[in-house]
Amino acid sequence: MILAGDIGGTKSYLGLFDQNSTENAPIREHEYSSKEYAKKGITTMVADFLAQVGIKKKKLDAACFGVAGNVLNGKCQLSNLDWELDEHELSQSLNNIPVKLFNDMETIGLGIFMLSDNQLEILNPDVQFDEQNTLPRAVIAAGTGLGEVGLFWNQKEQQFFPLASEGGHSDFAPINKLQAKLFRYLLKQENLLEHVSYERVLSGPGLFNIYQFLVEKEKCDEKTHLKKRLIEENAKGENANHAAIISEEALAKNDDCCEKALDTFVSIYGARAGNLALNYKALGGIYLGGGIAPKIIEKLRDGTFMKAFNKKGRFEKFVSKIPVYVIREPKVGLLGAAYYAYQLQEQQA
Amino acid sequence: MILAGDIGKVKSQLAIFSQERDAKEIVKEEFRNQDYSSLEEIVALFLEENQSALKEEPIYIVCFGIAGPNINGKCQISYEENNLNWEFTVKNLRNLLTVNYVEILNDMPTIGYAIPQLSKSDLVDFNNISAEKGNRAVSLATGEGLGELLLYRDRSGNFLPSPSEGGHANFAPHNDWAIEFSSYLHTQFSPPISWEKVISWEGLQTIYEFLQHKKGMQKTSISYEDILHQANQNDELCKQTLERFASMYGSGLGDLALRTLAFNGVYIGGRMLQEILGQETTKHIFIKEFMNAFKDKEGFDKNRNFAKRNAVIPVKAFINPEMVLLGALQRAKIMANLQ
Repeated sequence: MILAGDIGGTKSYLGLFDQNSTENAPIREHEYSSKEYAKKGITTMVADFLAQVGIKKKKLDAACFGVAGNVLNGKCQLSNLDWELDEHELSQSLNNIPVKLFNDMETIGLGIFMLSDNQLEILNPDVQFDEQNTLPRAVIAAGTGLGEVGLFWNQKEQQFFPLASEGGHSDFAPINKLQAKLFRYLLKQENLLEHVSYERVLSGPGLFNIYQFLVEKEKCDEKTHLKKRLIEENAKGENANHAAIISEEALAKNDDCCEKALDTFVSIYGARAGNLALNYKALGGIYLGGGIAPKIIEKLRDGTFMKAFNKKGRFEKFVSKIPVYVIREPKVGLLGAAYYAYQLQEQQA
Repeated sequence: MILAGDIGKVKSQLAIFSQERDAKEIVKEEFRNQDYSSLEEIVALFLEENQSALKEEPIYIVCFGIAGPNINGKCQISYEENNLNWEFTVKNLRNLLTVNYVEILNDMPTIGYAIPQLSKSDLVDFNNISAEKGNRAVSLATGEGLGELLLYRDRSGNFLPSPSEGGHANFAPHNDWAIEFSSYLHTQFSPPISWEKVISWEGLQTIYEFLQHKKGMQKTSISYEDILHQANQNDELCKQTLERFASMYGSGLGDLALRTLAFNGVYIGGRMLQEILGQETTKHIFIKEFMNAFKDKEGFDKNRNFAKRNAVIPVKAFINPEMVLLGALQRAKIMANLQ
């Protein structure tokens, strides 16, 4: 058996996987508060989990974790907590089995190889491709932030290899007049330190930025009840989710301004995904991860996304051959950790 | 023996090297493509001319870097300006050469193989920083085109090349001036506006025109050679043109470095850069503006962590004019286990 983990800034998940199980899902799993275990340590979380599911640690062959932070020399500091994870320490606490830490975007990337058809939805079903291909792939994930990862086939090791990226922090490329105005509007926001990265538009807070721009600069009519709801949302502090309100109103076609905000968001999402396809030469597929895509899937289906994705001038032919999927499985990161742990297990056998 | 080649759009270079760890160049020759009907013709001619050198030891491994794609063994090099359209297959070359090991690569990954082989004199160091762990990013601006390549480290620490078409991705402005320029580009060209529209000779000329336009000056056409020449003569407008160009170039490469976590180094090259770095004034302007924009990237937090992270990345320009040939030789040596 193998142990997989997805260690986030707020919540963490541990899952136990059995190679004999036919399903791409953990046989047992549990959710933990990261804050609580930042003090107790990851080895305690693992020990508590094994006690809860009644499994002895000698049954484990390998373990892999995706962590919300940068991994360097087998150690990872979580971005927002005072918590360091260490491969070596974990391995020692588990009878020296192989243990691997990845950045959580990397495990999301590996997770795509564990997904079955019903966990994916293709946005351009007419495209022809070979599912077993070993061409590069890329995942773009808009959620609370913007994550990106490339996946490359390693000929020698005969497996895909994830490459972490900070591409979400690269500059936003406006593709039309409206987006250029949005760029200028954001450039003037003091808290952005004179930078407009893709994350400022392609994330939950990004959708809210777009909405505010439309209201303030594009004479979009903000309805009173909506304004009230959005202001009330401020009271939730860190947990405020203005984007959920905007997308909900837009999808219900209740509010023109929200609809326009979501339309702009999806158009930028498509253009960026197309840029990634070019950057990584990702002819094997582009996958939309993150929390937002499954929630706005009706909007993603309406053609706005694919139109922006394909619009690459003389490279339109190139990008339009690429299958584009929405990942509908929220635990794809945990599955990716399991995927890698299985490989560690095989290498031992 | 090793046969290595740089098969470009205008000219081709072939060379024979001894098959040993410090491969020695036996013979090298350059051909003008338009004087021949096919690559096969050039190869056959070259081998015939050098029969005597190959008497004792025949060619065992062949590697060419070509200015075009190799799709499942079918290769193509086309260039409108000299009506060139060569098509050939790896299989045919193998038969013609009677050699089993024939590798045809696109020239960008071939350059990737040359990067680790460069000596100090092949490089212009922009910031004199020694490498951290991480990947490498390579960018090649020829003037007409913009190539990108990622060299990523696999688990065993080897660098593997992964090609990119990033030059065709949408151009991203990084400040007020650049967004204005981007809007101007949208009025001059039909969108999408790619990076290649900016990081190219055409881009340099468009920046010049835009600066004239902003100053309310009459639009005059100027060649890129003149822009560089006059910048070296201290002409203000031409110097400003180069400053803006270098700043957008640096910003684009800064994004590439972030996107690929290229902490081991960013390498830039190409004919364009060689001309800019060839003269003191343009070299000075370019490096200064490029590095400012390269380092100035957004961080997550108040401490601007990313600005710091990009600042520790070594940036180097490669000025060796024989990068493709060097890379092809290196690839052949790897195939022959001479590494």
